[in-house]
Amino acid sequence: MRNIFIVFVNTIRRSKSAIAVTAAAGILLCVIFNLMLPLYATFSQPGLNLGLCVYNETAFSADFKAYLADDLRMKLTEKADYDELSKMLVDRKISGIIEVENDEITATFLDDYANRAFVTAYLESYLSAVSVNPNARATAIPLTITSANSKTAQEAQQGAFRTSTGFFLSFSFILGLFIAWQIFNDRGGGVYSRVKASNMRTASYISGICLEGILCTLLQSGIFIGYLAISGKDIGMNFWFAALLCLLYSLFVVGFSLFCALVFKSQGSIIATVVGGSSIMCMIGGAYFPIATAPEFMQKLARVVPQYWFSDAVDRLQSGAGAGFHLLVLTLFALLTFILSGVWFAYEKS
Amino acid sequence: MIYIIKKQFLILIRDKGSLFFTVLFPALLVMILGNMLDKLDNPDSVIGDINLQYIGINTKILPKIDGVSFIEASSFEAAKIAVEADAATAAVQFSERGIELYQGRDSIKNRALESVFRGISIGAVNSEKTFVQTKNLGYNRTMLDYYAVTMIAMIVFMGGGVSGASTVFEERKNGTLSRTAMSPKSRASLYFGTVLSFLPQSALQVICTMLPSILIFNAHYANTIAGNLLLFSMFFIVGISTCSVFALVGLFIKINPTMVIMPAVWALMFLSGSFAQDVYITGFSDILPPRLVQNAAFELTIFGRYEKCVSAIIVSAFVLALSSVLGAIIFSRKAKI
Repeated sequence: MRNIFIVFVNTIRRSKSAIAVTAAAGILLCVIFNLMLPLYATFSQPGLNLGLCVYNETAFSADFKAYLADDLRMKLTEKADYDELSKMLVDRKISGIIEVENDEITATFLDDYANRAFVTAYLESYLSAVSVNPNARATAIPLTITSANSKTAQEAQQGAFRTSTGFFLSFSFILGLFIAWQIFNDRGGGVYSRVKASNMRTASYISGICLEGILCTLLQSGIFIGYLAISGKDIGMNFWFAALLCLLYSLFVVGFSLFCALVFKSQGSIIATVVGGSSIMCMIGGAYFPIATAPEFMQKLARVVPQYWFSDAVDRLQSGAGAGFHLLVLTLFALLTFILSGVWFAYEKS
Repeated sequence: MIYIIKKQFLILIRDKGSLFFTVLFPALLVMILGNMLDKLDNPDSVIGDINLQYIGINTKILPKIDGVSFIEASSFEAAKIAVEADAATAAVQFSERGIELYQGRDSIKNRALESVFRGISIGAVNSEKTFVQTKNLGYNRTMLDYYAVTMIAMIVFMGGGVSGASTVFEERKNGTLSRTAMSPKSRASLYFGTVLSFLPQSALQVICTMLPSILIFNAHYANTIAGNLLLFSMFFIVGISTCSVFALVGLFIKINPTMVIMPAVWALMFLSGSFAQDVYITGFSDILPPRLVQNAAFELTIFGRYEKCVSAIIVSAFVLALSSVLGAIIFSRKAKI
């Protein structure tokens, strides 16, 4: 126990910057959450983006434009240059190009545009109406729209929390890099060899380093979850449960970084594994993008990384389902990395 | 000079970290980002199937759209209950008051239905006659194709930046820089040798991203062999000139360049839309070199226009020559290296 404490205190002394960085990461997560809120609140009624190319202005073209922009609330990008609009279409900044020449309308889409039938129907309905009655818009039947439910502030908060957790999964590895550097420096400075030669037990050295890592991760998730709890945000799940998820994931990060630092002997390899590995794991695991939209093989592949189990647990908890199995898997991931690190350290010592 | 090139190449292939970031990382990112974002790559969300319950409407006026089904409800209230229970997308009733549309929770479907009923409200009728001519653009680009290009840009700028600046830093740190400077060779030729030593690395970076993207992940670059060679040439020369510019920067940097240049180039790539094409600042992103290079590549790969690629090659060659000469002069005249 005394050895663990000595390693722990020494690690804290040597890596004050790690504590500062993880605290900053915690604050940054709170900022990201608040930046995401308005995005989720306004996402409920996105307008359709269309490019409009009017070759000659007429009363018809003016009425048609007003119909698209005012009645259907489409976001129109007007350009006289079709070529420029075609670049925007390829870049998916617009859904289609509508060309108006006299009373003729041509709609251009990409061949994989899923809503082509709908957009064509919107245009056809206007044209069929004005073919019968040129003042169709002025004599329209009143349309009353009510809604069963609209996007609530709670849903926006839950969405913002889900996105922020993606950043949490990524930021945690900054700490991982600090831990890996710590051990790498121990190795370079000879501390590691002296520890191996001493009567210090494997578990003591690893526990001492890890305790500092856990303290930092608690600080990061504590600031983030604590802020959400104190400010009374609705994250769609129990705050203690969210904190537990963060803790289990942080344990995995600490274990993973420890293992990388013990196994790889060069600075480049450690950076490649921790930075490169974590970036890829976060992407595969659905930290940044919803995994449901990925191809089936990638959805299956996602299950091998803990980020998937974390993200899926958040999704399930927010939809009211249980995530006990996910907690178990995250625990096993964390345990596995620590066991592997211990075995490797013991193997090197022997 | 050949020895310097050989030495730099050996350093590259011996360092597992550099090798990972040069050979494997970009290809993996092309695969992951291209596949994961493919279905998200749309300016609007897919509407999907719509199930509408109606009351008191002459069905002849309801538009015929694939994926939209109409079911007659017993009453408007019953239809509203079905909407609240998510059994129907929306309920609609025609009455003396006009059209009453009761929408469900899906904002995308709501938007589509609103557009449909706006059309009906102005008197749209179903007829055999079509008023709109539709056509396909004829070009397309998947997300895989997008990242296949931007990841090469990322690797030539980030890899070139870090390795360019690190070369001088590492030599200085290891003490080999001052020993090399004392050799009979002129300092200028040593510096030119260092710049030329980036040739194999730059070629390797581009090849190692292009080939797996084409052969394994089925990404598309230019349609012709000549177009692909031009694309390779552009990225190759951009890579060397980036190395050369950052080697010049490295002459002045005293701290580990990776810690400074990697975040700076990352931010540059981020603002150039390399990681997400929606990230774009009007008037600013357009002048960033990675964005210019990416746009030149897309002009070639999508539209088959090569003018911007050629311009990029000429500008890069000029930057390479200028930075190399400037670097050689500074390296020759610097008293303490």
